Formats: sequence, C-alpha cells, structure tokens
Amino acid sequence: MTLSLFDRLTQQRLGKIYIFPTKAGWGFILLLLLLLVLSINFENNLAFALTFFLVGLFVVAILYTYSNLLGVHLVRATSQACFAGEQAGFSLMVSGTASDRREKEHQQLQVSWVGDLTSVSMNSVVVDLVESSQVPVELSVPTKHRGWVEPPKVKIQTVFPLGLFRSWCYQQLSCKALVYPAPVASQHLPATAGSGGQGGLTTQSGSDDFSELKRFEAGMSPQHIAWKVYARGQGLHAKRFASRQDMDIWLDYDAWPDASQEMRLSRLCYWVLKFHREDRCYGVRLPGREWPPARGEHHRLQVLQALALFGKESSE
Amino acid sequence: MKAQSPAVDNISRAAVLWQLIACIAVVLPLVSWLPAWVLVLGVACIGARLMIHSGRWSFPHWSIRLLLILAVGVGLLMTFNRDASLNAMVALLTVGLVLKLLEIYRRRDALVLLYVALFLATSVFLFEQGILVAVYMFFVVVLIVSALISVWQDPLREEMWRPFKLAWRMTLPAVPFMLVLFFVFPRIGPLWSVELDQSSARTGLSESMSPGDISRLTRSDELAFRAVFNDQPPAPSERYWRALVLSAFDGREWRPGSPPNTEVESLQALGGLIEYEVVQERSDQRWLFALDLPTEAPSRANLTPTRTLLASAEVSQRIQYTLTSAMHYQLGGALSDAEREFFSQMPSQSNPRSQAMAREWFDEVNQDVEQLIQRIFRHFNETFVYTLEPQSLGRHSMDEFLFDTQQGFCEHYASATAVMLRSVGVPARIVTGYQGGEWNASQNYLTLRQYDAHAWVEVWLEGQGWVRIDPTTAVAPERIEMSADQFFSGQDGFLADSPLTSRISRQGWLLQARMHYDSINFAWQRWVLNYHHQQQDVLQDWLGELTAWKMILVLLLPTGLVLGLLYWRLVRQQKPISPIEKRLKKLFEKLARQGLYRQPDETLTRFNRRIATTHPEYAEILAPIAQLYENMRYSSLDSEHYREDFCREIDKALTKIP
Repeated sequence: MTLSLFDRLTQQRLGKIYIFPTKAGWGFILLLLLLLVLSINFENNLAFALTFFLVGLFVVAILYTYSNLLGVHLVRATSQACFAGEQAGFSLMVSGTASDRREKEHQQLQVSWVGDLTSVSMNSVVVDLVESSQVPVELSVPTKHRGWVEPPKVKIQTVFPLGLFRSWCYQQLSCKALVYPAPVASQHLPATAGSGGQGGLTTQSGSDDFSELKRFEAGMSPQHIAWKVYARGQGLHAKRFASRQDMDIWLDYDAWPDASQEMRLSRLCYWVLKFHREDRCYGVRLPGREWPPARGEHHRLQVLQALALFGKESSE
Repeated sequence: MKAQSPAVDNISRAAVLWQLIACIAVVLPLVSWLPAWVLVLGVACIGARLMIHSGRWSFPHWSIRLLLILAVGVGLLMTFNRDASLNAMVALLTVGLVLKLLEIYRRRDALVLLYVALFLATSVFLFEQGILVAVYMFFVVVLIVSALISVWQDPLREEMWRPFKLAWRMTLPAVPFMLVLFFVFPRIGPLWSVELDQSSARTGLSESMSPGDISRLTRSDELAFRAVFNDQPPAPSERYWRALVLSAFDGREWRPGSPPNTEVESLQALGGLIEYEVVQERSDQRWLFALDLPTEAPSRANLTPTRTLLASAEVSQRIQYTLTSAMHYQLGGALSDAEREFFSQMPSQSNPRSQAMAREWFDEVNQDVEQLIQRIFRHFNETFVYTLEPQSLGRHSMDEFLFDTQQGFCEHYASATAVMLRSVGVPARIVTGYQGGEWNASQNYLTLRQYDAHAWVEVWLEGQGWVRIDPTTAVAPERIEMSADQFFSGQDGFLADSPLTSRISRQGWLLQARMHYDSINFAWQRWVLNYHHQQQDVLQDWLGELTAWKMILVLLLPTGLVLGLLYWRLVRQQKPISPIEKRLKKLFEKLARQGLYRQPDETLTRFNRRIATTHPEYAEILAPIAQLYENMRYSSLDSEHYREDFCREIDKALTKIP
C-alpha cells in the first residue's frame, strides 16, 4: 500500500467522465431501427436476434468507451518558458491506471486543450497507453504578453473501441508557463551608469583572444564549441575568450528614457540573450533590484524571469 | 473531432484486411442467391484491393470508379428487370459493398462499409435460417465488430489479432441482452406486406383428386408438418390428418364443394380430447391439418362447413397452431334433403359398370349400407393389388380400375368406394390428408412427410353421422399399422424424386442419427424461428399473468445484472479507497481551499517544508502527519498501529484547518 497509495493521491484525480453518442453512434441507432423494421416486417426471429445482439453491443460499447478513459490522468505537468508571441510548451505525462492486478490498456486517447485552441496545430495529440502505462505529450499555448500564462483545461477524449460513443473529461494542469518579453533588437546599447560601465559597446562579438578550453556544459553557447578538439575524440569543450572579459556590462532599465516599459524590457531581453549567446558577463539593473554581472544559464534564467514578471504581482 | 493531420483519418493496414475478411464472410452465405456476375465482380474487387494493399497497384482513378458504378447499375437493372425483390436488394447491397471495398482507406468509408455489412448480415436470415447458418452469422458479426474496432485503433497498429480479441470480449456480454430482448420484445405483425420469394411449385396435396395424384406424392420425402403432443400420440391407426373434404365428383376427378347455405357440421365428442400443436411447413395453400376431428379453429383460420381448417391467408412461411381434437365423435346431426342429394350426386353416365355392380350388391345385402361397405372391402381384399405405380386410367376411371387393372393406390380405393356408395344413393365423400407419421420419442412429436399423404372416405350412416372408413385397410392393412416409409420401403417409385441419402438413411444408426438431427432442427424451428407463435404462451408459463411491471422487471433485471457485472469488471477494478487515503484526500482538498496546492510530484514532507515558508501555522499541523507517514512507509514494524495514529492525527488536523 505504501507506494501505490501515495502515487494515487498525487494523481490529480479526474473529474466527471462525460459520454455521448458520436455521429457514427447515431448512425448505428438508425441502422438498428432499420433492422428492427426489417425483422418486424418479415417476422424473422433470427433477424430479431441479430438486431437485439447489436443493441446489446451498443450498450456494452458505452461501458467500454467509458472504461477506456477511466483511470487516465495527467501527471508531472511541466512547462517550458517562451518569449511573448511564441508558443508556451507544456509537457505532460498521460498515465493509465496503476492497477496492481493487470495493466489496463487505454487506446486512442486524444489530449487537447479545451476551447478553440484545438484549432492550432500541435494542440491535439492522440496517444495509446498500451505498451507503456505512461506516455509523454507536448501541448502548447500561443502567448501574447509576458508574465505567467495559465494553461487552459486539458480535455482527454476517446471514441475507442467502436466509435459509437465519445467519452471525455477535463483536467486542470497545476503548472504555469513563464513568458519572457519578446526580444526587440536595438543597434546600440546605450551608455549605462555603473561600475566599470563602458559606453558605446559595439555589438561585435568579443571573441578575439582565446584563453582556455572548458568542459562544455549545458547552457554554453554552441558557437564556442571546440569542434577540432571534439573531432580528436577528447569530448565537447567550449573555447573561452578573454576579450573584454573584465569589462562588466550593465544592462539598465533606464537606458532608454523615451521607450515604454514593455519596449525597455524587450530590449533588455534582447541584450541578455545576446550576451548570453556570446558567453559574456552582464549585469542587469531594474528599478529597485539588480543582478551583478555574471554569466551562465542560471544567471540568464534569473534575469529573464525578473524581466518577465517585472511590474506584475507574483508571489510564486 | 478535429484532426491534427489528415493521416489520423486513415485506417491501419490491418484494418483494411479486416474489412476484406468481414466482407467476404458476410457475402459467403449469400453466394447461391446472387447473380454470377456479382460474384465475379466481388472476387475482382477483393483481388484489386489486395493488389492495392500490397502496393502493386494504386487506387483506381475516379473515372474508372464512375464507369464501374454505371456498369454495375446497368447490370442490376438488366438482371432484375426493375423488379424490387429481396434478391435484388441483396445484390444491390453486395455490389455496393464490394465496390466500396475498392476505395477504403479512410475511417468514414470503412464505417459505411461495415454498417452495410451488418445490414447484409441480417438479410441473410431472410434466405437461410438453419442452425448452422445462425452460428456462422454469429461469427460473422464478431468479425464485423473486429473490423469496426480495427478502424478506430491507432492507424499504425499492425497486429491482426488485437481487434479480434477485444471483439470477443465485447460481444459475449451482448448475448444476454439479445436473449432477454428476444424473449420479451413484443412481436407485432408486419407493418406492411412484403413479398417473400415465390419460387418453384411445392409438392403437397392439391385441391382436387384424380387417380394418381396421391401416389405421386410418395415420390417425395419433403416435410409436410410436425405435430407435438404432450404425452403419447394416438395409435398409428388413429392418425388421420384431415386437410380437404372433396364432395363434387365429375366421373373422374373429385373437387371440394359444399351444398349451398350450410353451417359447420356439428361435432359431438364421444371420448377424451387430445391437444397438440402443429408446426406446418410452407405449402402456399390455405388448408391446415387437423387430427380427425378438430373441435375449433385456431386463430387466423376458420372451420369450413365440412370441418376442415382453412387459414385466412396462404401459408407462405412456416406456421404453428394449437388444436384440440376429438378422437371419437359424432359428426353431423341430420342431413337435409338438399345435403343428401348433394353428397350422393354423380354423373349418371360415368362408370356404368361400377354403378351397376353397386346396385346389384346393395340389393344382395338388403339395402344395408354397412354390409355393402363390407362387401366392397371384401372384394378389394380378394384380388386387388396395392401399388405405388398403378396403370393410368381413362375416362371411366373407376370402371377400368374395378374391372380391368385392379391395382391402385389409396385414392383409387377411396374413389371407387365413394362412387359405389353414391350410385346407390348413400351420401359419401372423399377426404384427403395425411395418415400416420414418424414418432420422435425424444421430443414427443410426429413428423409427417409428403409420402404420408392419404385419401379415405366418409360415409353418412343414419344415426351415426359422417363415419370415416378407409378402403385401404381392406387391401393393405399394414399401410395403416406401420409408418408409410416402413411399408413402402423397397417399392419402386417410393422416394423416387428424393436424393439417395434420404433413401439410405432409413435404417439402423443412420435412422437414429437422422431422428436426432430432426429433433434438434425441429426444436430450433419451434422455439427460435417460430418464437413469435409461442411468445404469448411462453411468457405466461414463465411469468404467470403478464403485467407491465413484470415485463419491465424481466427486461431490467438481467440487463442490469450484466451491466453491473461488466461495470464491476471494467470500472471498479481499482482497489477501494482506504480510510487513510480518504482522509488524506480531504486534507489536501482543505489545504487547496487555503491556496496551498501540492505539486503532483511532491512528497508530503517536501510539501510541508514548502508550506512552512509561507504558512507556518499549517506546517505545524502538517508536520506530525508527514513524520508519521514517513514512519509508516519505512518502518519495518507492524504498521497497523501507525495507521491508527495517522488517522487520528489527520482527523485532528482536519478540525484545525478551516
């Protein structure tokens, strides 16, 4: 009882399962009526028997379609951050019944958002829980503004096995996706105040003086991979450059006095991404908060999150 | 459903094969009813689809499809000549089916195909109703269901058996539904009249009788009817099944007829009554068969003045009816002059020698009718031969029979007797029907076949009414004592028109096997194919007085039972929720109302740690619970006492959290 109990409690239990005949189901009812008329008119008892058998099958199909969905739930929903205007990705695990006795199969489960988002491609995925009891599914939501985006409810539906009924249920995902400001390029980084701030930095990459090789880690710019080293079979390494390393770059919210708040954030975002790509040290200064110059993935994420949530109430 | 890509609507390759299998299976029993060119087309289409399936051909161009449809339409019109018969309907559906086969690769097409296949499967029963066909059709339906499942499964799934297995699991629970509905669904008459096929002429009694008519029937062992008795049937010599009374004689041929304005002859039973049920095969005639003599007509039939049974419509399919007969009786009270004249009239010029002989004998026995009958019978017994293949007779048929050929079958003896009686003014008439029957003890029924056909005489005796006399007993008493097939076996002409097998299977274990087969077949016909005739009685036997409530109960109880079982199997197979689980669930719900959501992958301890940062007051409540839970999970001790603590602790927490 130990593990399964907790697992089952951690599932977000499904709400009601709804069920209704599909178009094919209504067609089947029409067929049954036709067959009944045929049987009555020819007083043919075997035809009656076959008709009633199909009626029985119709009823049994209700249960099978229902049970095909029963126990299906979403676990481990995670989100991928994106930039405003892009699609925020949600990764979910569609999980079947963790029955001790035998693996129950669930076939042809269609996972999609509730509402008109389904019209967007990539937002309806059909999965089978047959070979494994958990299948990952990616759904995405189009975004317009920075900040948190709450995913709509997820609808799981199925018409399997006979296509006569559709059963469906809804589930709310427990995670939100972070939307960063859309990066907007600006040619020049204005002079910024601050320690060691150097005005008029060009956008030219600072890759003049090679200093050292470092083991490649996730988050490093792929542009700096030492392919020759890699080709010698010595593993992935990134080249580090010493150029202007010492110069701390400060990205300041106040650098564009005439731009709107969103535009400033967008520009900051652009520069953050750019410096990160070039693997340079940068600091960010927002009203009331600042991040001292640093480099790396963690720094980038922190800064981007701050940009995304700047001015938005958020306790999370 | 909104498709994410066009491929979603395609069916798997396995599904295509399933469609092919289902179609072949459903058309197979119809093969003998379809025009040959439809079969050729079917084979061609299936072959073409297989070529497409294996990738050697591509799907036919629309122009080819159009051409095919037009050609097939013309073909159907020419074959059936715009005659909307059943065969035409089935041919049309079959053609549609095989043409559709050519182009299936999408779900919608496959669905149309399978629905048509189900309709066609039902239509098979309009042609064939044997047990084997029924069993076969059950498998066909399973195949169609497999095909339907294969249509809805993942288009990339290739295993052939997967849909079939599921189909079995789904079809078996449907059987009880079928049985219950079959049992109680009210059978109303046809909504509009339909023409069943009017095929070849049937062997059986005809409406008139001239010499040679009955003996011709002995060439056939076709089933005429069966009669079910509750216990023992009447003795073989008592088994006279009346069909027609022929009263008008033209010198050669006997025809039905009755004196004007007559009522049904009265019947006074002198002994016990016997009740039985007749299951009559299709005869395309209106008369029914009753043991000598029925007390009243069954529903949808009437008594004629001579107390034979006439159905209100031709018997165009197997029917059954229950009858009560008196084995000893007095038929007819008094005969009016008109009736007396009618039943003794005959053309005065016909058969002069017979008439003369009858008058001579009548005078010899001092005008005693019974003695005259004895005299006639003795005459038959002396020199006459009972044969299945008598010589053909001319204009004065009875003269030729009595004085020249002296060999004949029952109709000759009956006719001669009636002629002689009528020539001395004694009312007499011919009765045709069946005599005897093969008793099947395992199911208590008599089987009467065409070779059991018989003719006898009813004579009017003052004070006794119409009395049955059978001249055949005078010449061949064994015919009446034995069953007809025992008596006739070996004679030339007997079963001459029947297949060899039915002639061989009349002895030893073959006979036993045939009897068993026959009784199974008969039970099938009575209880399944003709259930609509039984339903009322069966339901009343089982349920007593029929009320709406009882019917609803009968319908709901087994249905509910099956659904419940299935529900339990499919839905409630998860473990029941334990008390701990229930409490934890409540706790999380309460916390959620406070804005504290636990992440799906968060353990209790981690959740608690997170809460502590924002809501220390709840974390305090939760801490012991988390601790106990850890203990419970990881302790090797008996967790029973932890469990109790745990429940208590949660209950405490539940009261503290608003």
